[in-house]
Amino acid sequence: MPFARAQVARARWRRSAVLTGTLYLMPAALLTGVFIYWPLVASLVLSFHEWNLVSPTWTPVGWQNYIELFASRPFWLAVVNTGKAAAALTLLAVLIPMALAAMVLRVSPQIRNLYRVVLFSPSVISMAIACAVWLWIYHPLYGVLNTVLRLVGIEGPRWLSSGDWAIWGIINVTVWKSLGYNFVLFIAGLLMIPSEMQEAARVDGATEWQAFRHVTFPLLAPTTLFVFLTTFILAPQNLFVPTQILTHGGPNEASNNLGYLVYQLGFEYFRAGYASAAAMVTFLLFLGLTALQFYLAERRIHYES
Amino acid sequence: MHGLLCLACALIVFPLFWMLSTAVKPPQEIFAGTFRLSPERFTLENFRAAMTAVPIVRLFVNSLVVAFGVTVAQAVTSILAAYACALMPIPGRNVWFAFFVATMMIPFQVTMIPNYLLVSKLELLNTYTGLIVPQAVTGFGIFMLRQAFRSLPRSLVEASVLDGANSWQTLWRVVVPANRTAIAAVSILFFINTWNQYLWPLLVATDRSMKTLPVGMQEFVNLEGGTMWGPLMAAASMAILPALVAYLLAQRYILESFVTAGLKE
Repeated sequence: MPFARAQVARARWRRSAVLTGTLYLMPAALLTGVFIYWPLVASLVLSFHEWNLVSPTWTPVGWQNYIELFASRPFWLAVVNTGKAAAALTLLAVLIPMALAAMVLRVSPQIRNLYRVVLFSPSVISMAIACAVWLWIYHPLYGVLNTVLRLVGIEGPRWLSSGDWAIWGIINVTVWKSLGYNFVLFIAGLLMIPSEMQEAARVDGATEWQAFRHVTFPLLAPTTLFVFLTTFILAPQNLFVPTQILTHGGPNEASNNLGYLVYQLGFEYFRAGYASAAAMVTFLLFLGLTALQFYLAERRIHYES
Repeated sequence: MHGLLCLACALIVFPLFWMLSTAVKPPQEIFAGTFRLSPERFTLENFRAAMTAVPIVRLFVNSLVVAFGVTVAQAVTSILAAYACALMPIPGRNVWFAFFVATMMIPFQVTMIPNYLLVSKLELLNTYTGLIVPQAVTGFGIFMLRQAFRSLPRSLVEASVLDGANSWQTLWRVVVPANRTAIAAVSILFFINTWNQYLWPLLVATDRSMKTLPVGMQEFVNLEGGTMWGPLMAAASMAILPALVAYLLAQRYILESFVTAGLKE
């Protein structure tokens, strides 16, 4: 009676699976609860308190932290700088890799792989260590950047201690670090587009640019959307390390940004409640912007296809 | 076209090249203010200075322990949860899945202060436990592995059930071996991410002997009397080279895992 035996085995599996399956979820569920959701709630609660990280009590202050935050200069500087960085990153770290990927697909596969390996290399090394190297490159007197500029007769600025340049120094490092990853994603996206499509366009007399603009680019839209969104969502988090190492948000808050502000308020000024308010605002702001972009982009892609 | 591509490669690689080049230059050349790609007089003095200034071997071991611990923990919790969410008939498994995946939208900065508070209250600052356990779970890993497990042919799991295997045996004898490529790929990502991470060890490891490489390295910066640029570049080279060599050896594999991780989302 093999059929009956199978029934029994299935029923046994189903009965025990509810219990064991829930058991398998437990390690991940407990850790997620304790180290992600509980802190999220605690952060929210803490944002309505004043606390210096050492005193035994949290002092309730109502909306005071949020009011102070929205009235503070560093916060608005951080918002503007994060906006600049997100715009520059989504532009440079999306368009340049897309162009490079489109180019690299026209060389032979072996050489293509060489380019891939080289351009991707910053993605596997530590941002903190890379920043130590960039600190040296940006050095106003002995740094190689200003040395080379001096050779062509330009006196370079003090990149990291000038209010106008510091945030761009940080953005530049972030672009350098994330360019290769996006490049590799674009290559994968481009390889999924059937080459007959472009050839058909060429046969119809389209120039190379027209073929890219009207055939490749629309078909690449899902990859572009993905790269664009991840670059945007991760922008505030990716700014933290270069800011902490290169400028500490200075000079005079000129390079502060939302990724760094929370750390600065919490662990340099020891104002945990105030820092939590800044964290909540950052979180909700980026959640909202991401949802909005996703909504707009989804609509656009549906229309085009 | 090759010209543009080569220029891009040169600009990307230059910082790493300059790090190595500075590391083997004597101070007179480092502070000469002239542009020379290779040293006039080659020296290993900076490496010796770096080794004596910071306990670099200890930093290396710490990085290795933390990266290995986090990778194993994340792999195990992800495999178990992904298995339950993908293949087991438990009530509300989509709700559970959403519970895990939604964590990908929560930036680390938001959870950082309460987590620091918890770890310090439990007196786990400057311990491997404090460095590893709060990172033992990842929504991203559960997401990736659930996708992989779901594409497993139903007949494989079914056959194992009919053989009378229980769910634990089915997981380790059928599901995990069939998905070893996907599991290896996410594990590589877990390892690289933890090896390179900075913020959490910066908060938890304040004691010199517990710091990881990226954190310990910063001791060279802003010292009284100025940053020691030569030794700093030597230390940076020593910290980056193993990762870079591993990458060059396993580049095909590493690139592939990054790409699948990216495109499946």
